[in-house]
Amino acid sequence: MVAERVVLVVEDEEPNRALLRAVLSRASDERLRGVVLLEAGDLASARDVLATRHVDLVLLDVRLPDGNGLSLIPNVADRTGETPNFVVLSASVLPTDRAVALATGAAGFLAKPYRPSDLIEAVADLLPAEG
Amino acid sequence: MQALIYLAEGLFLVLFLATLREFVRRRDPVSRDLALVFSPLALIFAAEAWRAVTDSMPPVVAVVLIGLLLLQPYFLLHLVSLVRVVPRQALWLALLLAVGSVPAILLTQSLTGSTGSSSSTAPASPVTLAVVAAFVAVEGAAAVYLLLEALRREGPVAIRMWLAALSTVVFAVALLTSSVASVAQTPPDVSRGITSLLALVAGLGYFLAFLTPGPVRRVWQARTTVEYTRQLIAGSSESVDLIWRGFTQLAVRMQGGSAVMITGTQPGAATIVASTGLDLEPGAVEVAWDDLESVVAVARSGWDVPADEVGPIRHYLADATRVRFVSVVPIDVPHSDETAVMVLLSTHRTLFHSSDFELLRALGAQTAIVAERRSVMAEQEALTERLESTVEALRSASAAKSDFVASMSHEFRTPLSAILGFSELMGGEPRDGDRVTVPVEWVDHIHRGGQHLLALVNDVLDLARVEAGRLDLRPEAIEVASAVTEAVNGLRPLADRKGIRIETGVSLLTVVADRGRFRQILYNLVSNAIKYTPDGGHIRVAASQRDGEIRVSVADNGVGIDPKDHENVFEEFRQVGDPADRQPGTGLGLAVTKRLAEAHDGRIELVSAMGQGSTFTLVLPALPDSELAARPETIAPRAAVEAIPSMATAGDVLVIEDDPSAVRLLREYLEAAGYRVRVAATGESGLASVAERKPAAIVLDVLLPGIDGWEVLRRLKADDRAHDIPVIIVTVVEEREVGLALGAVDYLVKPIHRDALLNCLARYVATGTDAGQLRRVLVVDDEAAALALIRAALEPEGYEVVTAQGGRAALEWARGGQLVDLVVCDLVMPEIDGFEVIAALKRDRRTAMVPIVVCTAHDLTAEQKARLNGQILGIVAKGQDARVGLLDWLSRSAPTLLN
Repeated sequence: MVAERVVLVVEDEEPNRALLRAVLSRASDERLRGVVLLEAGDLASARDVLATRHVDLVLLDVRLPDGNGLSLIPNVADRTGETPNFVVLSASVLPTDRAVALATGAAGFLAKPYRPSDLIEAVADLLPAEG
Repeated sequence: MQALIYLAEGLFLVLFLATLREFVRRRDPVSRDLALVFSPLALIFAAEAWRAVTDSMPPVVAVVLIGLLLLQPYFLLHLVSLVRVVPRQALWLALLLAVGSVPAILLTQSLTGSTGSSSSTAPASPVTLAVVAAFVAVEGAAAVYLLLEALRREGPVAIRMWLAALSTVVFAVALLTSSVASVAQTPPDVSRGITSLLALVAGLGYFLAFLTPGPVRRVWQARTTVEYTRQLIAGSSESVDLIWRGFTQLAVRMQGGSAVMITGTQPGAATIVASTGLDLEPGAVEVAWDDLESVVAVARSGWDVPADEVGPIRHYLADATRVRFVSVVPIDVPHSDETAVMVLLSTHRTLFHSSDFELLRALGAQTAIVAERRSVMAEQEALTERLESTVEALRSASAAKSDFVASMSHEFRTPLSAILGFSELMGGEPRDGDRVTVPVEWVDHIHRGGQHLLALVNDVLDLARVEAGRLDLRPEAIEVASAVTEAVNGLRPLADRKGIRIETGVSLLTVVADRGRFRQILYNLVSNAIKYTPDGGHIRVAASQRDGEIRVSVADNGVGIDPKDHENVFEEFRQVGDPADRQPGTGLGLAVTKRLAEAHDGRIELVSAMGQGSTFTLVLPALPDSELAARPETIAPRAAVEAIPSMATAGDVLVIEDDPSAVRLLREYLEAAGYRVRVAATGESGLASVAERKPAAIVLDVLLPGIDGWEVLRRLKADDRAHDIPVIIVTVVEEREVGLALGAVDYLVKPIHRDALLNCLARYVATGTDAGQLRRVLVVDDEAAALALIRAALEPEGYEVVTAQGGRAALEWARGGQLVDLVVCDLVMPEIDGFEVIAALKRDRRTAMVPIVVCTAHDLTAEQKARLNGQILGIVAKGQDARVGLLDWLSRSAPTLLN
């Protein structure tokens, strides 16, 4: 049985989530085959998911209603037992935002609006291989 | 021994002479009384010396001597009364006793037959004893008074009083021994020795007490200086009032009584800044400048000036009614034009010496420096505080701006991601010929994103305009009721979807505001109410006038807003309350609304609490009725916007637009509504198309290759056959004024709302085809004769004629809003000429469509013709043929005017 790969989307605005859903489910890239998509609308529910399920990759928005998305990253293993990769999605303007995200431990960073192909590349790169 | 005696006596005489010299120099009561006090003994010693030399004594001397001797207590008591309160009765008593004793003694003396002996050798008779007792009593009283004074005072003055008291005692003893000696048969030398020694000591004491010589004064002054300076430095950080108070306290210590410090801080007025011994609040009493100057003038006359001579002081210090002496010490305030003066008020003489005066002046100048330093420091502190708070305010404003930019960036990028993301996805879908099949949801996301972005752009632009003061408001009188109805009707579908009921209760009110912005505010408030009211809720819009203000309120029964958030709701990009309840919107609506209200000199009020719904009220100033009448009235816009016309009456519409995507869009809209659409991609081909077949309406873009939309419009209006075609300008350029002035019936800015376009067309195309006969004509001319002439020409032919004499009348009539089918207008009129009338008619949407014929007696210059180009149908010359000319012209033109 092939272990399924799980991607968690942490994003509060529905249009953005819909877009992520659409991009990932439509992706024809082989590497994204059979990926399971989970969604969380804020930090609290994101933490719940991480505590209860195995997650391989987190697509993380920064501006969440109950805090800064980056706060999810540090010591995530200690708190949830999971070690997913994080890709930060941000409507940032400042050049320092990327540096800060990477310094906090994100494996990838995409500025909104992002090209769907860029998203697919990032996800494919950071997901563990199938099987 | 003899020598010592002579020495002592000699010295005493020197003292006496010094006292006399002081009196002669200063002529003041103190030295006079002191001299009198010394006089008996001085005379005794002088007489002794005389006798030693001449061995004779004129009898008169003895008499005088006795007299002086017996009066001495009175002199002493009088001296004491100069420096402290001595009851008048005591003085009178002393005088009485003294005066009474003289004859008593003389009598006794003559009885004993004593002759010319230096000392009185009266036997111890009861009279003598009585006299002596009286003598001692008065001397004792004087000593006691001096003692009391000594206890009351401080510092050098107290010392002086002590000295005086002791000297009194000693002096009395000296006098007694001198008298007793003659009785008690003691060796004359011994008694004389004791007497003279005691006298000298007492004399020195008195001299020091009352006429302190320079060196002694200086010692005391030095001590005072050191002590005061130390105190001044210690208290240098206290307030200016307290610093001056310390100075007045010094003065009072030095002389008793009370003191006030007056400074003139600005020309024309001065205040009492400190006082001791009087119950005065610093700064409570203002002194008139003139009074201050007269007081300062007094200072020149020295100290201890009788209070009567310084009238102003009494006036300001009503309490100090027992003041008998005033000393004024002018203080030099360094580096300043201030005048500072200290006034010492006292019931008794101060015993000042000029050096005391100088001392006070010097210490006063020091105090002034310290006081100035203190006030400079206080100013500095205040400035620093203000600076800090300004820096803080700037910092937080800057932070707010950065926050705004960051928020804005985020807000824009969110819808953009949806638009770009989904459209790119769509592009990636498998193609079926020239189509792709995509989920409807994607389309919705893109559309919503686009709408959101547009709303954002508009709101941000509005904000920017307000900030830059470029809001360009065009205030006009607006019927509140119809504006409210419009807004509510527009939003009813939204409310219906949520089952929310909207009620209006608007009385007949007129407000002056920019029409578009007023609508915008209403729209925003009502749409917010709908957004934040749960399904099945209830909204009420009401308007009233109160206290010179017009209030339009929108009340909902939604979640309500916590009072602590009342200010935050108006901030950019802030949505308050439960994040789960977040509503779609730009986050700028209320911020823009608030600023728009403020730009109208109004405000938005909010009444709300959690769970109790919210009421937002737009408050605008109401103009008084008289002003309202003077403003151009506007007809209430038609309450219900007309529906799309049915196929039967729809005509064909010419679209002049070069952008293919815009054309496609317009075509979609118009054909769906039943219009037949023709398209021209350039102005020239458009005009040609019009010439070929006249459309019912023209939708015209401004930015065209070749001739631009303005030129097309001008030409259309200049063309006899085309001038009456309603032209709607549809463009990105915002030049509404120009468009309407040139004769367009309406002006829409892209992006085009379908409904706006169709409603506009419906208004003009429908009314165009419904036009009945050309019936009503407005004639404008300043000459009554001309008006009558044209009336006479037209009325018989069945035309209804309305006249306006002069440009002003024409404009007023136009404001009245009646409709005519044609305007015949003279050009040359006084005050407001035909050009202005035509321009005004074209500006007003209601009359812009009305054809105008110019009727003038003059030939027009090329320039004038150009001015009228596009605005009028034609020019008819006045004159005998006017009647014919006009009628002729009308009959020729009427068919085309009828479309």
